[in-house]
Amino acid sequence: MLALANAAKGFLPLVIAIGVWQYAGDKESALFPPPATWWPAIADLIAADTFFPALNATLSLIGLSLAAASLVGFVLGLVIGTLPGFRHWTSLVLEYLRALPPPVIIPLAVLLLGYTMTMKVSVIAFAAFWPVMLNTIAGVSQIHNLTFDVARSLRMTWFETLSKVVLPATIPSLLLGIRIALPQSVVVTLVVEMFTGESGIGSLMIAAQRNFNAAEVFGLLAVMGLFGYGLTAAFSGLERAILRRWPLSASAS
Amino acid sequence: MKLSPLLRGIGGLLVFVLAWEFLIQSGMIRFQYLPPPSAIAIAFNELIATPTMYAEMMHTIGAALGSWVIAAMIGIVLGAALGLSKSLRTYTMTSIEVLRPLPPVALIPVALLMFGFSLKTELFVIAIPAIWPILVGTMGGVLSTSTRLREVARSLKLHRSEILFKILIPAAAPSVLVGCRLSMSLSLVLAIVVEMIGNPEGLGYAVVREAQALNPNLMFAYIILIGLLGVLFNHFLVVASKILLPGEFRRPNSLMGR
Repeated sequence: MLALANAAKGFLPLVIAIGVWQYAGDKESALFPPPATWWPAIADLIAADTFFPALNATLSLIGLSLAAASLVGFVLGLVIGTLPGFRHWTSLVLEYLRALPPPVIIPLAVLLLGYTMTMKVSVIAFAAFWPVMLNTIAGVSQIHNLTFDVARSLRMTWFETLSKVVLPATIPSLLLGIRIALPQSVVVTLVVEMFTGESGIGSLMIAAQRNFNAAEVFGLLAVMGLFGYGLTAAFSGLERAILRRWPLSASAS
Repeated sequence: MKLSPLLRGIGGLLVFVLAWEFLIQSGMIRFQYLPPPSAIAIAFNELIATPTMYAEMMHTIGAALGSWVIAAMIGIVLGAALGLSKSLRTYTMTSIEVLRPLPPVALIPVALLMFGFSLKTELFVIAIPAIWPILVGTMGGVLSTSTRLREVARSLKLHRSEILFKILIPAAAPSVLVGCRLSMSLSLVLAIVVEMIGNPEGLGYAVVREAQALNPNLMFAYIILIGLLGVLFNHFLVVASKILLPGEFRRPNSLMGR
């Protein structure tokens, strides 16, 4: 109860800022429309049947890309984590690709793949798979050597070791990686949508800005804020629910 | 024969480039706009002889570093204040937790609306998201200063300023630096993004421009350049942290190590 009251107190600066903006701000301002005008702008978008399709497009793009990134990142992470030789051979290529800001490959992807779903998913997944892969590698390297010795004395094959020893022990790291990848995939999804201007909340924002519809821009900004907060909170809840049932905590080995 | 990890890394890079060259030259994969590495290398050589490229590069680096400095000043001051005062934390943390997950790029349309195509747009969009890692790092660093250190300070009857300079700053410095490092790499990425979507200047715009001119060789040359800049930034930050706080850092998440 106390925690809830404290959390409510923490809203104070935000509430004051919005209140001051609403009551002291210029009602007709072209650049800083007061918060009360934001909702009507969004309501207009909903009435024009553009808001929910856009939200849906953005959400499904994030979901699809994050799923692809998690799969690729986890598999690559397991391979690189369990085969040190492979890790050395790929180190420079991966180190370089990781330093590349992911959005610069959007123009390249557009040239190669056109304005397609494949293009969007590959760009976003390229940005989001790094934290998954790196955390999986870290998860593998945290497994105690003794565990591998046990596997060897049981004459497990590489594949058995992977599926029975490594896989269960690295799931918590995988989840941590996905949690870090989630906000990154939201960002790159918005960049892709703004860049292509085809569909999604990102393209709505850029269109609103080009039409100098400030109320709509701020309304969509608020929507994206809620969206980011909601996604992060939802995934943290999911992660906790999975880990509560997990026999091995990330550190126990 | 055992090769050292670095040599294997170089070997891997060579294999990657040669495979790419071979796949294109032999016609096994065919994209209209995917040039072989040899053509990109020629374009890259021409690019580094072009004076305008240096102006574009300085613009991007300037926007990234300028915003980073602004973000660091705001983040360290706010983070230290939040770390020191419990009531300030009570009355602001929820607002910060709500604002922090806002996707940085969502600020681009707002900034364009306010500042148009200008450097201010870039500074606004880069600096605000870059504050968070520094703020959180500084606050965490101050908060995690062990109570034993504070007790020592009290029993030595240290003056407030002495506590600040001899206890709090040295104890918080590592996590402040981690925050600064995170936000510096973020700044470079955001600078490129704003230049691609918002302000048409610098390296980010150059990539888009060459792509739209259907000039893939030069576009790749710019992408390679931006990647090298990213590697340089990372390397600089790792070296700087090692010099500033020797022994404090092992390189986390590195693919090179071990």
